[in-house]
Amino acid sequence: MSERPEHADGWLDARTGWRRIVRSQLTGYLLPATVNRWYSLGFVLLIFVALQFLTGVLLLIYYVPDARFAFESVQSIANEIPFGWLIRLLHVHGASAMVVVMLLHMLSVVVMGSYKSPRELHWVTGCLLLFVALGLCFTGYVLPWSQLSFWATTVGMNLVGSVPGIGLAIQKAVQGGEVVGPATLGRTFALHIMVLPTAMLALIVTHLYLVRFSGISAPPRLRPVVEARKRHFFPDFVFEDLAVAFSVLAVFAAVLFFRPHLYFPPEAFEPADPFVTPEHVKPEWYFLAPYQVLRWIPNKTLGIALQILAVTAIVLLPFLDRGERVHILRRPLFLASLALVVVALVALTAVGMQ
Amino acid sequence: MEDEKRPGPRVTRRGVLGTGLAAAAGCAGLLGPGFVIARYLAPAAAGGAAALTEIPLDGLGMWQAQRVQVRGRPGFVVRTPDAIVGVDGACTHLGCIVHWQQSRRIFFCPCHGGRFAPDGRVLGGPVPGPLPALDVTVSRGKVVVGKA
Repeated sequence: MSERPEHADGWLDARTGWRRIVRSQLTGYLLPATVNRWYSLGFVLLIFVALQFLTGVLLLIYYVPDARFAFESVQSIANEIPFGWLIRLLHVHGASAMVVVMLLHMLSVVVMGSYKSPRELHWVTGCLLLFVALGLCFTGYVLPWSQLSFWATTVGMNLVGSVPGIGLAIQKAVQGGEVVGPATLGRTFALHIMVLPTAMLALIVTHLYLVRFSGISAPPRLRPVVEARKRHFFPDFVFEDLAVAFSVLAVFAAVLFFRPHLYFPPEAFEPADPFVTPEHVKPEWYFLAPYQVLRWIPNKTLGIALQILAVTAIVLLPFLDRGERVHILRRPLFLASLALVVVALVALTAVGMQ
Repeated sequence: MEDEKRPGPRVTRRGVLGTGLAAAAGCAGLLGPGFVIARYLAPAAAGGAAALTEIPLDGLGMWQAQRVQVRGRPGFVVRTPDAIVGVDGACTHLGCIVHWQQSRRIFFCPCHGGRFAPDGRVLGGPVPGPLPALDVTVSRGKVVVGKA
C-alpha cells in the first residue's frame, strides 16, 4: 500500500486498472494464427456503425422532424449547408454499406460454420443486429418526407400490417393512425434516433462480450490439425483489420463519389404528396426480395407467414444444424442449400428491381 | 512489486519514429474530417446572414432606437441630435442583449446592470468595455447598417 505512482498513467492505472485491461484485451489477447481476412468484417461493421452515428448526429442539427418542414430541411442540408451534401450522402450510402457488410459477415460465418456450438448466441445476437439495422434503414427512409419516403413507407407499413396476429396493431402504432401521415414522421423519428440506436448499441456490446467470452473460432480445415500458433490481437490483427477496413472504405468512397444518386430515384426530390402515388413504388434494395415474394404469392398473409418461417429458421440455424462437421466441403447438402438461398435472394432482388 | 523491479521505459529511435509517424498520420487523417465538420457546423459564417440591413429614416424619431440584425448579430440604431449611431446589441460583460431606455437615453443590460451611452461608451456597471460600433450610412432616406 506504500506504492507511489510516478507518472500520470501510473496514477490513472492505480485508480482504473487500464494497464490490465490493455494487456487482457489488446496486447495480451491472443487469437488463432489462422484467423483470416473475412474475420475483419466485424471490425469494418463497427466503423460503419460509428459513421452512421456521427453523420446521424450531424444531420440532427439541421433536420426538422415536422411534416411541414422536413423535406425543406433535408433539401437545405443537401444544397445550402457547407458539406451538408457529403454528410447526407455518407449517411444514406453508409446505411446500405452497413447492410451489405453485415450480410457478407453473416455469409462468412455460415460458410466457416462459426455459428456452431458454443457460439449459438453469437449468431442469434448477430441476426437481431441485422433486424435492428434494417429497422433503422426503414425508419430513416421516412424522414426526408419525399414522395419516395412517403410511398415506400406506405408499402412497407402495409406489409407490416399483414403479419398475422399483431401486424395491424404494430402498423397502427408506428403510423400513428389509419394511414401514413404527419404522425408517422414523429414516431419513426423517435424510433430512428433513440429506440433503435439504443437497441443496436446494447446488442453490439452483448455480441462483443460473447465473442470475447467464447473466443473467436478458427477457420475450419479439411484435415484437422492441431494448430497451436497464436497471434496478438494488437498490433497484428488490428493492423490487418485496418487494411481490410481501408479497402472497403475505398470501394465505399468510389460508389459515393461516382454514383452519388444511386439511392435517389426522381421521387426522392419531390415533397410527399398523400394524393399522388408515383408510378413505380418500390422499397429499398434490401427489402426487394421479400417484396418480390409477396408479388408472386397472391395471398399476402400466406406470403408473410412463409417469410416469417424462413427468417425464424435462419435465426435458429445453430439449433437446427447440430452436426459435428464444420468445413463447408464436408457438408454438401448444407452447401447446396446455402447456394440455393443466396442465388434465390440475388435473383429475387434483381427481379424486384425491374 | 512487479513494477518496482521493472527498469524505466526504454526510448529507442525506432519507437520515437514509429510513434511520430503514427501521430502524424493520425493528425492528417483527422484534419480532413475535422475541416468538413467545422464548416458544416458553422454555416452562418459562410454568408447565410445578411451583411447589410436597411431601415427607413422616417421611422426613426429623435432619441429613438431600432433593433437591427447584422451578420446574424443583434444591434441597435439610435438617432441623436448630432448623428445616427449604431452599436452591437450584446453586452460586453456576459453577452445578454441590452435594452434601450428612451427616458434615460441609455442602453441598459438587464442581466447585471451594465449601462452604456447611445454610442456604446461605458457609463457604469460591471462591463469591461464599450459596445462595438456598427457602420451606419444614410442614403436616399434610408439608414444602412453594416458593411457590404
